[in-house]
Parts: sequence; C-alpha cells; structure tokens
Amino acid sequence: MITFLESLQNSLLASFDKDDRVLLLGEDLIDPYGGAFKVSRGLSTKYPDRVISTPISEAGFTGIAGGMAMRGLRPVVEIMFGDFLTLCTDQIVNHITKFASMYPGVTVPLVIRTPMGGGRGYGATHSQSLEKMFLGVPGLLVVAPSLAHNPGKLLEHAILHEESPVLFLENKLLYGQEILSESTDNLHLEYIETQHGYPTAVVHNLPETKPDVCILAYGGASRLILDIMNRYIDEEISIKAIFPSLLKTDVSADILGAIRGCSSLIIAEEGSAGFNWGSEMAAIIYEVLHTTLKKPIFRLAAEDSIIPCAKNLEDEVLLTTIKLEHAITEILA
Amino acid sequence: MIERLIRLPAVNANDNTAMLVEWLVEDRSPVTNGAPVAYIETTKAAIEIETPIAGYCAHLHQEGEKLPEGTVIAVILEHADERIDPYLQLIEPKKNEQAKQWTKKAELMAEKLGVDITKLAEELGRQVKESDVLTYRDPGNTIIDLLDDQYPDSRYERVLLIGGGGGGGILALDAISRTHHQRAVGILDNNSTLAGKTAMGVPILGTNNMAKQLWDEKFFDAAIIIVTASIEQREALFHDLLSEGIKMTNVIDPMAQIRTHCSLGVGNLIMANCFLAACVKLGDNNFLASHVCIEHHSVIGSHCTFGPRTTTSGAVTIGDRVKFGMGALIEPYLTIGDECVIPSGSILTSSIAPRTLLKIKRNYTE
Repeated sequence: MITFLESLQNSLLASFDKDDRVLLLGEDLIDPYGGAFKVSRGLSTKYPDRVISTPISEAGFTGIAGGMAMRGLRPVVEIMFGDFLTLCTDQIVNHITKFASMYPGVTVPLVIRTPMGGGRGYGATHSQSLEKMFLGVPGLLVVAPSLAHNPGKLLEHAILHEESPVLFLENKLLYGQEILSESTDNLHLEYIETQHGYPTAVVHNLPETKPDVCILAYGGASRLILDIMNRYIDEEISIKAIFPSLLKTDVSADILGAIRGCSSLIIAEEGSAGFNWGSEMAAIIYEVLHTTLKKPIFRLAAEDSIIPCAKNLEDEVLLTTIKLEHAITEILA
Repeated sequence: MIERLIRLPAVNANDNTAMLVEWLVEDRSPVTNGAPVAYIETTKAAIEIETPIAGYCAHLHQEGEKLPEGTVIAVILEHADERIDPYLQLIEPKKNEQAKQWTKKAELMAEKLGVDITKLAEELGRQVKESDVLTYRDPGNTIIDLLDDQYPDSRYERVLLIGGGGGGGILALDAISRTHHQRAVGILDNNSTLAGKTAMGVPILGTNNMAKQLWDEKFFDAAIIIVTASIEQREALFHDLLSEGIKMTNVIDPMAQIRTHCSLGVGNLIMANCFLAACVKLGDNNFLASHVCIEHHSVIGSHCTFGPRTTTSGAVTIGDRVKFGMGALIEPYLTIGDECVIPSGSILTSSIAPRTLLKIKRNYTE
C-alpha cells in the first residue's frame, strides 16, 4: 500500500539518484518544508545543490529551467498551484514548446509539475483545473495520472526519458489516497500502452459481466469513480472506467476497443464545462463509434463558474460522486 | 459524556488524516484541564492535542497509527478504573443496519419492467437481484420441454439461439428442425432460472453474455437472435455479438420461398410460408413471422420485425428498426422510414416519415 504522494516522492528521489542532470526549481521546496504539498520532502537534504528554491517568479524560473533543458540538463519545475501556470504561460507557449521546432538540434526535456483541483476550500484562485488551457498547445505533453496509475513511474519516465516538455498534473485530493493495486484491490485493473511510458488504465468492477456503463475520465475524477465502482459491486452495476494518463492522447484502436463493448459512455472531468477535454474526446469517439453507442455521450464537468470556498457551495460547482451517480442512474433507467 | 471524547482535529486544509506520533501521558493517568495529551503530525505540521477537561486519559489508539480527522483517540474518564464500554458505544457506528432489500440494478430493472419490487422482496424473503426481477416478469419457463427432438449430426451448421428461452425459441427450433443443414446446439437466455433445462432437447446453457465464451470454445458455428418483442434489445444484441466476432446465420423455414436474385444479410429469422419475390433485398437481423409477403424489388433495412401476414407490394422501401403488427398491407413504391411502428391491419397508401407511430381508426370502440 502506497499513497499517490509517496509514489511521487519516491520517484522524484529516484530520478535524482539515477541521473545527476536532474534538478528541481520552485518555491518553498527546501526541507523541512519540502514544498507546499510535500512532493519534494527530503530531496534538498540529500541533494542540497540540486533543489533550487526560487523567489515568487514563475515566469523567471520556468524560463531559466527551459534554458537549462536546452543546454543539456533535465530540470523539473514545481508550480505551487496549477492556477499559477498563467504566470509562466508565455514561457510555455511561446518559448519552451517552440524551440525544438524553431532551432535545429534543440530539445527541451523539461517537466513542469503542478497540483490541480478543488475540494479543499482553497477558493477561486487555488482550486482550478486549468488543463484545458494547455491541451491545445502544440509540442506540449499534458500528463495527469489517476489513482489507477503508478504516478511515480509516469513522473520518472517524463523526467528521465522524455525529450519534449511535459506538463505533469497532480490532483490535490489524490495526494493522500492509496493508489490502486493490481493484486490487492477488488477492482480488476489492466493497462493499454498507447504511447510509450503513458499507459491508459482500464478498471472494471465486475469484469465477468458486460459493462452497464463505461466512464472515460482522468486524474482527480478517478477518486470519485473508483469509490462508486467499489460500492456498486454489491449493487450489480457493472462499470468499466478508462483513465488515459496522457490527456492529448491518441484515441487508439485499443482505447476505442475498450469503449466499443459499452452501450453508454460518460466522459467526466473536474475542469469546468465547455470547450474542455471531454468535448474533444466525445468528438473523436463519435466519429468512430456513432453506430455502436446506443445513447448520446453523457458529459460531466464542473460548472462553468468560479469555485467558491464554502464546502457546500464548492460541491455544487465541482464534479462529485452524487453527480456521477445521478448520471449513471439516468443512463440505466 | 460526549465532551469526554478527544477527537483528532482537522489540522490543515491539505490533509484528511494525521499520524498519532506520541502519547504525552500514560494510559489512564490523571490529566488536568488544558494539559497536552498527545502529539500528532500531518504533512504540514505537528501539534499537541489538549484535553478540555480534567480526568484520566484512556488511550484508544497506538502511537504510529495514521487516523482520519474526527477519530476519537482518547476518553477522559472520571475515575481511573471507570469502565470504558459506555463511551465506546458512543463512538461505534450504528451496526445491524438492515441489509438492503434489493440491489440498485434490480431496482432500476423493476422500474423499467413495471415490477413491484417491494412485493417481490416480500415474496422472496431475501435480497432481490436483477435476475429475480427478470424471472418474475418472464413467462418463458411455461413452455419448456414441449417435446424432445434429436438432430442428425450430418447437419453441418451448429446454431446457438440467443434469447431463445421463450416462445420464439420454440418457433425457431421448429424451423431449424425442418432444415437440412442446421442443428440447434444450445440456447442462451437472460432468464437465469432456465439454465440447465432443455427445450426440444436443446440445452439452455445460461445467460446471453456466455455467447463469447462458447464461441471461443468453438461450441457453435453461428448464432441467431430470437428476441422479437424489443427491437432495441434485438439490435443491441446483434451489435454486441458482431463486435465479439461471432458469426450470425439466417434461419429460414424450408416452407418459406426465397426467389431468384434475392439478397439477404445475416441474422434473419424467416418463418414458414414467407414469400420473398424476385430481386428483394433484405438487410440484417430481421424477424419475419409466418406468411409475410415481400414483393419483388422491395428493399428492407435491418432490425425490423414483421407480424404474420404483413404484405408489401412491389418496389417498397422499408428502413431500419421498423415494427409491423399483423396483416399490414403496403402499396407499391412506398417508403417507410426508420423506426416506424405500423399497427395490425394498416393499409398504407402513402409513404411514412421516419419515426412515425402510426395509429389507425378501428371499427369498434374500446
């Protein structure tokens, strides 16, 4: 049993051990604080020269990291909250993702890690899931592990083996959760390897039955979905969940194959509704599967609204298990 | 009493749990109001927990345990030797919650089929499952084992009947028994209570989702869908079977006539005395009851069901998922759109738009 956070901590440390070109830049990273969400806890004690605690200057240190990556290092940037990505978006959109195409022989192996998501009462500017703003940026890999992934393994792959810039999203509420294990859990888990290093997890709660509903989701939504799937074993409701880890993924034959057997599909995400990941996935899936899906694709997301602090109001805005369960009931009724 | 329980506080917004690092007082030792009793740690901070009341601190958890917010970690007893049980009863979640009377799936299915699930739960005296609801509704088991028949092995195509536990299954078995090339080897039906029984000597093997397994085991050569009441279900089954790579066959009663240049898809079930005239095109997965007449150059889509004595004239076009009652008459050159429902005895003299639910005046009042 290992938590999402422990998996990331271990892998970040392992990446430092394996390759001395790896370093970490960001705010408040030095022990004993070890980063706002503790992903870098212990790292500066072991590698004091390779953990660089910066001033509050996202554009500056992201640009510096981009330069380090171009010059042969493998830097990792931590943006304390995903909401602050807007501060370094110019570096990402106009520089880091452009260099490989603009200059011959240049690569930018840079990983930008950041937590996303609400549910903790952090309010409008510390709770968002802004990934939809970055999914349309050419040359940027957007990776978001779910609880059905080994997040550390994905991070280690991105840090040590990826030649392109990676935006690595960690949902805040996943940090304390135990990750799903192939051997010990009630749920059946398998992986489809669509793009090397970034598997898609396929989870089924009643694997010997035909799914009543198929749910396509990523990252933080996996926490809610896996909870429902566990509870619905006794309710005889068969759910197959598909969690890509690479958001701008090739919707390959394998993923379509996993969906093909299902008559109904829900696409769920924690980001706000409209012009989001689900829109694109639904469009791609419709092009291929419009004859086999018997019901319209059901899309769920947070409200197109700011995220309030108060727990009850936050629940109204964000994706919740209750909203997911209502959708499932509506589809099955 | 409740004020004597020491709970793990919500220390910071990042965590739902905290580690009980150290007890600062021995188990059941005296404490004064406001004294620190334990040391806990979250990802952000380590803090001391104080008792709001004086007494004797009884530990409920061990050092090193990771506990959720709100967990009662200690009870402050009034006397050192006071029994702790009454306090534990305050903490323990209420047990013996009445087991759920039915599963959510059973409830949804009962709603869909109009079954009174409360009554069913009373009758069964146990938790109602989806299969119970299906069984309750399905009269199929009344016509099982009408007669026993043996197929000669010389018939090369081994056919599996899907959804064949009811009356339609007998109809299809009767037709198959009269062919020269097919033999029925098994029946699947979602009414799980039928499993293990036989119909006309053919075993009912289990529910419809076994088809893939039987196909992989090469138990049969081709399947035919028997379900006729629900076109939606018939079509869903057809797509499911095809997507699983299962071959579909046509079952055609030898008394039916398929004339020159007809073309047929797969999965069609065509009963006795049907007449498909020259150059008729029939799609997939249609059910034609007895005496259906499709005149020359007509084009029929897929997943349609035709009641007995449905008659089309020449060059009629019929879409997909059209449902005919009995004895409808269709004039030449007409087009009937997808998903129309044509009631018994209709006489169609003009084309019908897709998804038309046709109603006809009858010469009697109900």
